[in-house]
Amino acid sequence: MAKTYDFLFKLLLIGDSGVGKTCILVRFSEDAFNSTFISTIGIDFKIRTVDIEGKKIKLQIWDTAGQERFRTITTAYYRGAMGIMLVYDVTNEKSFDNIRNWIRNIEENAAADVEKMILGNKCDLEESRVVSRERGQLLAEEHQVKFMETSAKSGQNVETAFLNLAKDIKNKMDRRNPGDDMGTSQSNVHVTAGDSSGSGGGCAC
Amino acid sequence: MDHNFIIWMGDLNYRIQTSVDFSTEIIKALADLYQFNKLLQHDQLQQQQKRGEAFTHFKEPPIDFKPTYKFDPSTNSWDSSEKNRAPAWCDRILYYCDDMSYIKNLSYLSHPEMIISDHKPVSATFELQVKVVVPDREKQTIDEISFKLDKLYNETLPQVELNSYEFKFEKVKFMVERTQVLKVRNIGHRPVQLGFKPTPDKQDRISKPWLSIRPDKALILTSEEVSINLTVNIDSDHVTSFNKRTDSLDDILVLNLEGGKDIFISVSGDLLSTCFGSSLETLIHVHTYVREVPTGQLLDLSMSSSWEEYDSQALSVRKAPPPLDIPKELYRLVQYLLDHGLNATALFTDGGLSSEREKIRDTLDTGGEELVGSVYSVAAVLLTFLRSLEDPVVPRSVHQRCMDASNNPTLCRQVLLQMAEVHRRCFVFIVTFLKKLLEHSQENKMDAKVLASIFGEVLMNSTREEKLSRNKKTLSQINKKKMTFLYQFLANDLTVNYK
Repeated sequence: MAKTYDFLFKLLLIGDSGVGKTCILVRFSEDAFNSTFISTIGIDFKIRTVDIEGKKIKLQIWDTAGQERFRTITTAYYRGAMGIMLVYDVTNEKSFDNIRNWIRNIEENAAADVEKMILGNKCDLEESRVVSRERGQLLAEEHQVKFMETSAKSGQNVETAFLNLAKDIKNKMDRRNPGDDMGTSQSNVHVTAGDSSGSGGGCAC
Repeated sequence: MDHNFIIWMGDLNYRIQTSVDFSTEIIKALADLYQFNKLLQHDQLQQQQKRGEAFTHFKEPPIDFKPTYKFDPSTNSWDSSEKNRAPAWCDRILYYCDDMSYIKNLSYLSHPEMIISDHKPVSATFELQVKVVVPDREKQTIDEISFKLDKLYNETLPQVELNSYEFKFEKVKFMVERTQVLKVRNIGHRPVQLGFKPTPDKQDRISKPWLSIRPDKALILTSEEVSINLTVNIDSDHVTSFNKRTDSLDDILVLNLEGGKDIFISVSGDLLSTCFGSSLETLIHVHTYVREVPTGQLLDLSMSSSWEEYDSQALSVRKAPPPLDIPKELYRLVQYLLDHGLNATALFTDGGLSSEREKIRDTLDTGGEELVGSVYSVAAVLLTFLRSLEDPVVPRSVHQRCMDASNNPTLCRQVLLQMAEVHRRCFVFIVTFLKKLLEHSQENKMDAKVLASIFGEVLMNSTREEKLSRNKKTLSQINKKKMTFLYQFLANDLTVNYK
């Protein structure tokens, strides 16, 4: 079958258990929401193809178990990621504090140039909010990453967040391959359909 | 090529089928009388279309003109040459569209005024409805379709249901295999190939060495289920690391669905405290029974500088009793064999029964009154006890010296002096026991060489790593020297002062 995309980007969702990583992914890939909490026990992924500047970009988004006891195993999956969403819950102080630990995990296990973004999820729950938007913004500035508040429930900013992250990855790629004819070339994609092995992203750059 | 309409025109060369009853002259006459329907019944193109042999889905506008062939050039007269061709509609215009409502024929004509050829040209006019792409709506539609395709793809990713994500093995006993069944049911839309992934925390094994997964690969068809046995067996190779707390009954397995997700399966539990895999130094401090001391504290016992320290911290303020001369477990096993097994043949090779061995090990750890079982089972447990010791009766630190001294009885005796007291005492105890067995060799048919071979290996047990890192030839040379070392003690009187 002919390839239906120009690039494959591998993204990862990390953050404490219960912050809504799976819900964010389901909102983005299925435009749906279910408030029943089902803990992710493992590493799952979904795909969605988006159009960025005329390029078909297939996002393969990996959703990870947030539970502490799986930490050593889940960090092994960081290596192949080209972009990482760090998610906390604006109604849960601890999940916000832990973002620093998650960043350390990324530094220790992911590629050095991985694109990152911090998401403060559940921003629809204004009455139980304990982490202000400003604090989220400050933390993101401190680590020089982008920041956005999202709601998987209402859908607010979910799409925008993924598109922004994908765009950052693409921009970085374009800067690295300035001679590459972005109009037609698919030569720097080496991915087989259904590729899910831990290694590699899609891009050989 | 991308297209919506087909217009097929040209000299297709179809004729009006002549026959005995339908001669050229009749055709010419009918044509001149404008009797086109009668002629069209014999038109080869229309006949082939009806039979589905050519241009099946094409349409042709109704023909209301004379056949267009064959005329004498420069005239409107039918062919008058020698061949006398029958007139025919050779020149045709056909059309096709997936939805014929988008194409409408307005005219279909021939042009007899053109006389330069032996054909008359034909013409047709059509009205077509052509689709125009609206860029915004096109993008929206493509996005919608792409979203649906992605969703479909996500829905067809492998999906399974497990009977449990957590398996708890409580109160596992040393060398007693325990199995639980992981059931994986395929609830997705396609067959699933499953396997287990090695993880870095297990030196790239799929499970800890004491846990086996069978099968570790399987193909599950849709709606079907496989059962995977998770078996825990903590044997001599692994028990020491449990006693030393460098390992615990915890593991996370990574179940991979090919082309899809990974699922984490947690295995947890606890090993009942046991004298097996412990050290002689620890065991001589245990006056009660091992099972009464939590696994962790067994380690504290061997590490604390004195029994008093452990005692005051953990148990009571009473003055601690002095350490035992040798571990009581060793004493019980050997005493039983002295009482009941001196005359038994094949004492150490029979092996006994596994159910009896389990009971005997339990009795040692729980302080049961009597060892129950055949002498063969007791003998096998004795060998396991010696083999599983953290540091064997002859400590690893002196193995090389033992081997170097093995040909010289005096040197062998000197090595004995270099061993820590408890190790020396146990060694002498066992040598004395083996000599006792040899006194009964008439009945039990044992000789010093056989015993030295069996006990040389367990009293001077190599670590698993040593065994794996050496080749067969080296190992057999090492074993031979160890056997010779022990043989010197069985053949000579070297332990006389240590009884």
